[in-house]
Amino acid sequence: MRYYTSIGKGDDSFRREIRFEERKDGLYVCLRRSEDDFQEAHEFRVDVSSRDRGHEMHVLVDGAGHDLCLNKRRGGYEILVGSERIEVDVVDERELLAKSITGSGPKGPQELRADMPGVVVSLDCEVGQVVAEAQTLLILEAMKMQNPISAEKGGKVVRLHVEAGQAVAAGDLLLTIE
Amino acid sequence: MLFDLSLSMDTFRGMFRSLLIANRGEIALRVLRTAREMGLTTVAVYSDADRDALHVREADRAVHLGGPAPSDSYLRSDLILQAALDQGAEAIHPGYGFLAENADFARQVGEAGLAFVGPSPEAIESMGDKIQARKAALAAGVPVIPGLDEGSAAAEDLLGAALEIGYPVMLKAAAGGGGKGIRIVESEADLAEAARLAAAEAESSFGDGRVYLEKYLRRPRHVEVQILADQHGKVVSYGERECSVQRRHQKLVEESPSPAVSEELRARMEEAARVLAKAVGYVGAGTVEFLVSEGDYYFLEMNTRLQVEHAITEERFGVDLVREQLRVAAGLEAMDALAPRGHSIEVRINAEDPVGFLPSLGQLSQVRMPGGRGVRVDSAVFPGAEVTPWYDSMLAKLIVLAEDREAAIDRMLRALAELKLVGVKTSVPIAARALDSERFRSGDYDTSILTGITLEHDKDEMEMACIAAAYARYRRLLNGNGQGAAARKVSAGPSAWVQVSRQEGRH
Repeated sequence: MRYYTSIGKGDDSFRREIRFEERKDGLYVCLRRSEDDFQEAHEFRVDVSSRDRGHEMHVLVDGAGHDLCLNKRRGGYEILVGSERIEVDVVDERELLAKSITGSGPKGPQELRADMPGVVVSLDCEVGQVVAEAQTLLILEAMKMQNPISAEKGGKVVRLHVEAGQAVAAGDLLLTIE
Repeated sequence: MLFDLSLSMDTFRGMFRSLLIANRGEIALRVLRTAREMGLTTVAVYSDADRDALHVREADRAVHLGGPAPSDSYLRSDLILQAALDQGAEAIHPGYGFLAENADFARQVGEAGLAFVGPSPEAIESMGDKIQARKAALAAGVPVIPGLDEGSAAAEDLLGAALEIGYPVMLKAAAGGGGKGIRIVESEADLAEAARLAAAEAESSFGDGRVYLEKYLRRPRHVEVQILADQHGKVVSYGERECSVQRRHQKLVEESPSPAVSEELRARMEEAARVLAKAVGYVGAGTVEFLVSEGDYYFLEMNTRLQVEHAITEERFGVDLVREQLRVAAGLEAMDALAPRGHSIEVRINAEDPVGFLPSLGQLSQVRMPGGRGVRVDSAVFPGAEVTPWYDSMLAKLIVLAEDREAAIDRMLRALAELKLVGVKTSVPIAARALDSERFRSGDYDTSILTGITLEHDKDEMEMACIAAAYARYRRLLNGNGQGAAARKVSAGPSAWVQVSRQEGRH
């Protein structure tokens, strides 16, 4: 399972795509630091000890110790690292997929964005077309699954930002509906 | 950390046997601790919101006052006085805030035959009024910020005063308070127009067009002197505290000694504070606040109570100021101050958003306090404690003592990193940045120091937080109900899950 973590909103947000792997010699964390990071180049051995149902966590990352406190909040956790309090949003693959299916675009002119990196398999609409809510507008293949992308509200397709076969990154604009 | 040498064998002959503490939070606990060490029976008071508070749990006796609003509880002087009489308390310690500077309350306590641990009602009144306090300081020969003694609406009065004082000058409504409508005028050419505008504003805001003019101090620092006066005319001073790390006139970090005060300036300021205390017949612990600018000092105001930041003085001077307050309130003679040593710093840990400084409310899920050599924690919070909108948002005070200033800064940063408070946002990140800033470390800072501080996170710390968040999700930690991730509701609702399962089934 992949976890999409982010700190802050918008273009300046800090994002990490994270996966854990249990290996013979222990647990590994595999990180993607940017969308261009197609290889999970960043791999660390981690040794985590948590207590109080996870409210306190001690993490050794390749032997370097980090004493953390966690608390649940809407969308993720608040985490105390040293004297810093950091709010992290986290969604896993399944949630992301569920979100992309029900649509989570903004109100008004809707901008449909890719919730995860993938490839546009097919475009099932064209500019000027009036589409209905929940109608499949394009199929995005990601994580070996074909995900139909639909609009939250019906409207007119005013712009297509991608074409079939194109690779997109998480957050890329797919199409605009008015 | 330091041995407390203020305790001597015969001092408690006239001491009270029972003390009511008319406060809550860390200061109630602070006072209670000393009272207990002195063998006094302690009486706490509490509101509905504080039934579980530590000051209640630690006290020998406790009296319920009323609803959570201060006006229904900690400000109810009638109920508090009655509680003291019912419980047989011989003295009342007001702490700081609430009734601490309420002259009427001090008077009622005295009239009921109890001791008020603080100055006389007259001294509270004379120092509580800014104009009266300024006059008292002038009469005692203590320098005040040069300005018009009375406000004026006439431009020629203001021009004349400015000529005498020298530019830059500051204009403000004589009837107004706080920092509202302050104008800074750099030269005579600008004064007439600024005075006209200020007078018009004062007229429309307060119905009083008089404008007050005083010297504008460049790069002011807020430095205060701790004094203690007994009933026999003896006034002891305990050096100074530097309190310039402020935002919206609220202190965040204090240190002692002040890096801006020379031996010679310190001697002058301490002398001025003692003279003023004597002049107003002051008894008890008090603080004389000064502004220090370009090597000169000016009287600002006197606080007729124990200050939040009193602990840094205690650490340097090896004195328990609450014990001294109780001793002088019982009529005993004030002890001479010991020679200070080392450098002490305090950080106020407030439940607040470090961005807008608004209070941050909620429940503290975790509380882990720092420890080790030279670290003192004055706090009344515990895991599960609620931060409510009713009271001050200060959760704890961290106080360190070290051999010198640099070591004290490093010790405080270490203590701040050790401190774990989760559940509300706190002032810790901004305090840590302020302490570690070049300006603070150099010692050459003023009351504007917090304005240039940004709150960006370190990249490695953010990555660590992301890993921890992902791990918590991966291991289904912090799920409360113990049912794991499957029981979690997602905003998308169950239909989306059905669709996901369907698609997963396709592959």
